[in-house]
Formats: sequence, structure tokens, C-alpha cells
Amino acid sequence: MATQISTKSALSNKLRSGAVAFDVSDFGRLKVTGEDAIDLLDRLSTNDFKLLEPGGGISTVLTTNKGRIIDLLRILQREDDLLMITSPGTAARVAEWIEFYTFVEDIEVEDVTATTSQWLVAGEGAMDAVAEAGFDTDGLNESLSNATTGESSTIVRTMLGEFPAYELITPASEGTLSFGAEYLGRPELAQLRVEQGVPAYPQEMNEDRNPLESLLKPHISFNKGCYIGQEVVARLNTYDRVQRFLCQLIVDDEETVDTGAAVLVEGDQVGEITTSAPGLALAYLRKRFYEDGLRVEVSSNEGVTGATVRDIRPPEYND
Amino acid sequence: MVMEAPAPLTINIDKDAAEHVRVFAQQSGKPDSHLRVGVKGGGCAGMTYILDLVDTPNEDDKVIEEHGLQLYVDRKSYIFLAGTILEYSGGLNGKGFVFNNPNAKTTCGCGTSFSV
Repeated sequence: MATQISTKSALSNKLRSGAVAFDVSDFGRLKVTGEDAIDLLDRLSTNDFKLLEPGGGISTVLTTNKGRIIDLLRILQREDDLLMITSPGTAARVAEWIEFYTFVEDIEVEDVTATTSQWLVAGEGAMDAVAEAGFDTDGLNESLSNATTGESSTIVRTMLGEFPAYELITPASEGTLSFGAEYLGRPELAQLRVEQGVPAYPQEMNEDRNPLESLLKPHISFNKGCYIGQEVVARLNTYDRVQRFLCQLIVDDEETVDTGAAVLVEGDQVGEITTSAPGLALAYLRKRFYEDGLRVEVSSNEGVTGATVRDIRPPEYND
Repeated sequence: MVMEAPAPLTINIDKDAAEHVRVFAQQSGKPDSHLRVGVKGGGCAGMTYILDLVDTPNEDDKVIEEHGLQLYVDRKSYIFLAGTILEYSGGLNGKGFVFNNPNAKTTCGCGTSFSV
């Protein structure tokens, strides 16, 4: 049974009492147009695009025909197009994948990563922080609900784990925005991601992983019909064939363990660290050992450190 | 010794399948229509076959004629269908139209999609 994620680090306290901002322009952004765009994307990825509405969004996993992850995409339906947000460094691969599977469909994919910027403002005070930069959040209550703002900017309601967040996509020419929030860097964002149990590409999501072990079940529809990889993903789910899951490890003595370090139980390897932060790590752990509170050891070049397993599977895994 | 050049890869439809296309065309009230054959992205394995009754080819279509029936194939689909024989499997256990596609490395359980 998953435990409620609630961290008390100084960093998460900043989000609990206010908001912090990140420049996340290295995420990919693809502008998608054409009458067949939604139909094609529905055939290529895991979620049900019937749920997509104007001003709304959907998160969906692009999978290979072997049910492995190419990327977790967030797709926003704007007035005149779809804006697809990819992981950092995957926009070209995602665009090529769509192009490969386009035969006679009316669809255009334009990579706007270089001409736009992306900002993430997260924390209980995120709404006030983006208001200080002149952005209106009225009506943006659902996750991935979005609105065009200013001349050509988009504001999106998102979540960073347990914390409310907003993301802004603006023309790159506008430069850095002045939010009512402290700007932090990549190490802090990585720490928050580990604290909140959020998988990322390529550490936790890649073509060696299936979406079920990477905790992406909330982004999968099991009754929408066929998409590339559906047969494999459905079989893994129906017959309970997933061999491992992503977990969080609480590492003893606030130590930072090595990425790639082995997770051991009684000397046998049962998992592997994928991302780490001081006192915490994300790791893949064999299903047999995936037990909240289980004591394990993490072995790396620095030596052996004790750690405790935390089950971070979302409620969809309780079915 | 004279070597015979191999026959160019094409798409064939067998006589029985062509006859069934004609029957379906008549039942649909379009007795003079021909058959669009193609591929689209999707299906469990990656690509799904498409069949459609149409009156005329599109500008860039490859047109193949066999058993009095014209097959229209868009250029990109042709790459993945070259060498295919379209057959018809009837009877109680029949699957309907069947694509025997030499490019297909794997097919999904229901046989309607394939990967190359």
C-alpha cells in the first residue's frame, strides 16, 4: 500500500510556505496542427484522446510496439493547435516517430523548442507568484487546463508531485520573467523530483522500461482500443506480469548514493538506483521486494549504506 | 546461361479476393468502385492495414490492375506493402481479407496490425 508522500526538507518547506520558479526551457515543445492530429496521436499513444477538450490537456505515453517508453508527453489543446511538451532532449525523436507513422494523414509537427521558453512555478503560493508576473490563473483548476495569455504565451495548470504548479510557455525573445518567487536551479528541481517520486527521462523512463513499472499507469487507458504497444501493455497489466516498480528509498544518515548503485537484500541484487538526492533516491526494485518499510542496502564504490523502501505507486495500482 | 530478371515487387490480389471486393462494391451501391489499399500508423504492432472502396485514385497513387480490379496505393504505404498478396479467407472460421505481407516481421494477436 502506497504511503502518502510528504517531505519536510527545507526545499519542500519553501514550496509549502510559498513558491519557487525554474527555467525549464530545455523541455521540448512541438506545435501540432492538422485535421488528423488528434486521431493519429490517439493511435500512437496510451491515453484516450476523447478526454481532450479545448483549453484542456492530456498526458500520454508514446510507446514502441514492444510496449517500451519513448516519452511521456503532455498535450495541450489550444485554440488553433496542439502544443506537445516532451522531456528534455526528446523533441526531435518524438517528431520523427510521428512522421514515420504519418501516411496520408493531415498533420504538421513544428519544433518550437528553440523559439520559446518554458517556466515552472511550483508551491502553495504559485498562483500569487505568477500573478506578480501579470498572468491570470482564473479558470485554470484542472491539471493541464491552459489559456492563451498576452500576445502569444500559454499558461498551464500542472502539479509538481503534491504541490500546485503553473507552467508558462512564452516567446524566447521575452527573456526571463519576474515571478514573485525565488529562482532555483537544476539540482533543486532534481531533488524535488526525487522527494515527490516523479519519474523523468532518461533516468526512469526510456526504451528499456515499460510504462507500468515506471508508475505511468495514470496515463494509460485500458479501454480505448488499439495503440502501438497496447497488446504488450494490456498483457502486462491483466496477467500481473510487471517484474519491478519504481520506488523511493530513504537513505540512512542523509547520504547521497551513486546513480546506478545496486540495491541489495541479504547480499543479492534486487534493484538499481536511478536518481539520487541527499538522503533520498529513486530506484527500480523487483516486485517481490517492493514492500513499504523493507530495509535494504545500497552498494556503490563508496561502500554500503542502509535504506528503507517507500511504496510510491499511485492509487491506480491498488486495483 | 541467361539469367531472368526477377519480377518487380508489386501488390497482388487473388481472384477470390477480387470477386469478394466486387460483391461488397455491389452491396454498397458502388458497383464501379475500385479498392484503396494502404497502411496507417496504429494498432498494437505499429501499422494497421486499410481497405476502402473508392471511385478514383489520388494524384500520387500507384495503380495496379488485376482480375479486372484496380488497386490504388499511396506511395508511402507501398513501401510497406510491396510483395503483399491480398487474399480472402471465407467460411465460418474465415478472417475475411488477409494480407500476406512479406515485410511484416511481427503481427498482433488479432492479425490486423504489423511491424516491419
